[in-house]
Amino acid sequence: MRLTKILKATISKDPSIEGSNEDSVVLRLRGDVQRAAVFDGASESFAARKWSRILADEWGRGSEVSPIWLENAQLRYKEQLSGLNLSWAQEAAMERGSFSTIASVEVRDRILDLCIVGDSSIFFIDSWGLKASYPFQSESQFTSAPTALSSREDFGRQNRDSLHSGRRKCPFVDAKGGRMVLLATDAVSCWLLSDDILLHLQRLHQLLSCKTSNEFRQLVIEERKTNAMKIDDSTIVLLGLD
Amino acid sequence: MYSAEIRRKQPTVYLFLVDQSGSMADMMTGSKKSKAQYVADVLNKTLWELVVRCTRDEGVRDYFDVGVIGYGGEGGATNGLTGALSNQWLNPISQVEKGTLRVEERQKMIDDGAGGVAPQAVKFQVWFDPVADGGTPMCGALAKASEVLADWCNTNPNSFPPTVIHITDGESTDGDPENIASMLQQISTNDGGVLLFNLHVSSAGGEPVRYPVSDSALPNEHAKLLFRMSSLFPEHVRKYAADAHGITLVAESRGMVFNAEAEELVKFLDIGSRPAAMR
Repeated sequence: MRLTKILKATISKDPSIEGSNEDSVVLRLRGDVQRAAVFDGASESFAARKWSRILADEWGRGSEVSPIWLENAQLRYKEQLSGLNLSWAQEAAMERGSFSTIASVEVRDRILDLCIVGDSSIFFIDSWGLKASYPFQSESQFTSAPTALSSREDFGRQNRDSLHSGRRKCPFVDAKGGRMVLLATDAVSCWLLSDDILLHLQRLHQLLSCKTSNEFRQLVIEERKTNAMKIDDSTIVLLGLD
Repeated sequence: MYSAEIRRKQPTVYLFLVDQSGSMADMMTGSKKSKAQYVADVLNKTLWELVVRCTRDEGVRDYFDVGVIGYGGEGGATNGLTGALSNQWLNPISQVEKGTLRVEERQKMIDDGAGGVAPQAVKFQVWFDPVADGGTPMCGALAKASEVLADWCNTNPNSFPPTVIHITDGESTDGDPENIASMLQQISTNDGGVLLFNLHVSSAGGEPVRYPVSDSALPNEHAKLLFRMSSLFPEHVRKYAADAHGITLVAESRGMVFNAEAEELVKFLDIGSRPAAMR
């Protein structure tokens, strides 16, 4: 079983503000262990972009999705922020921490390992359409306060519980042919999981028709105009599963 | 309605109307401070919270425009903020962060690790000082708020509508405020009308009435007037009240507390100033 890249694309909530995209992506498809992930830094937290980047970097280096990976990331985060000249408001906001979701897939020894914390999602698609989605199956399940991984060391237990409950094995590990895995942050995921079945099928077709990152960005911009998709950082990784 | 996301290019407003009449010098029920002092402390803490909520590693994002209108004394409705912030009725939150009047050292009681509590010095940012003088020109204050927010809504038509949080301890001395309050609530963006939440602070110690769904349990005409002047809570605020404070609000609950004691005031400002999704 191999993963192959079909499309990786992202667009910020506000493309006119440089550096405003708080999503991060990992794509490591060479070697025996293949892995891909999207991380969605929570905009309401202090250093969401930095935190999602650090999580991605640490995981991309080959770390397991584990408490140790998270503790290493927390250490790097702390190092990067220490010694900065912060205002009183930044000091207060920093104490509240930074948060990020994760949706990751890893192929190792013919086993497909998933980890999902929060509302970034993983979809399994074949030529007939959407076969399965994690963690949600409907747009109504998306809430304003998803679980997330915290940069705060005192959130250790919550982080460990989230990682533990977010791990799962793919039920399609033995399936063959024409399959795709889609990783997406919440704005795209919620849009795709429309409760209107016709709309859902239309959107899936639109998304799979994007052949370039620019086509994906155009699709998101158009859907934002009609309020069909919420304005948020939007990231996808579409992979072939052979 | 009331679903617009709050973004830097699409901010919202928090405007606080604060009664500064002479009776605010009376003691606040449930506190050792005067009503004016207690309200000032809670308002300063709320401004602090709004600033911190918008602060990121790169700086303060202007999700909110914020203003304070004080009313009482000789001047009627005046800008409750001072220094550079007094030049405009509404200031971007990044300017509020820079515009503290002073920083005081206050004592906060913390767990001493041995089963007791111990005082700890904490910094307390002050933007707004207590004032208690003269009558209660509520109509003037609501009219000023209407003027300011009509302009703002014209220039921010797609934003989440402004929220006005009004704190008072008495009846209007410059006329009946009901029509002006109604006009204020009719000022709107494409996402809905201005939200007006009213809190009546107590020094008499009467039974508080919280977030009523009808005016039948209200003790007097003044309370019923405030009920009619108060907006319904949007869904995200009702959800926050339940999650953070265990307060069950239904769709008909009005944004109003009558005879509020000290603790109620803190909750009211926290609930009333809770924004929708910030992106």
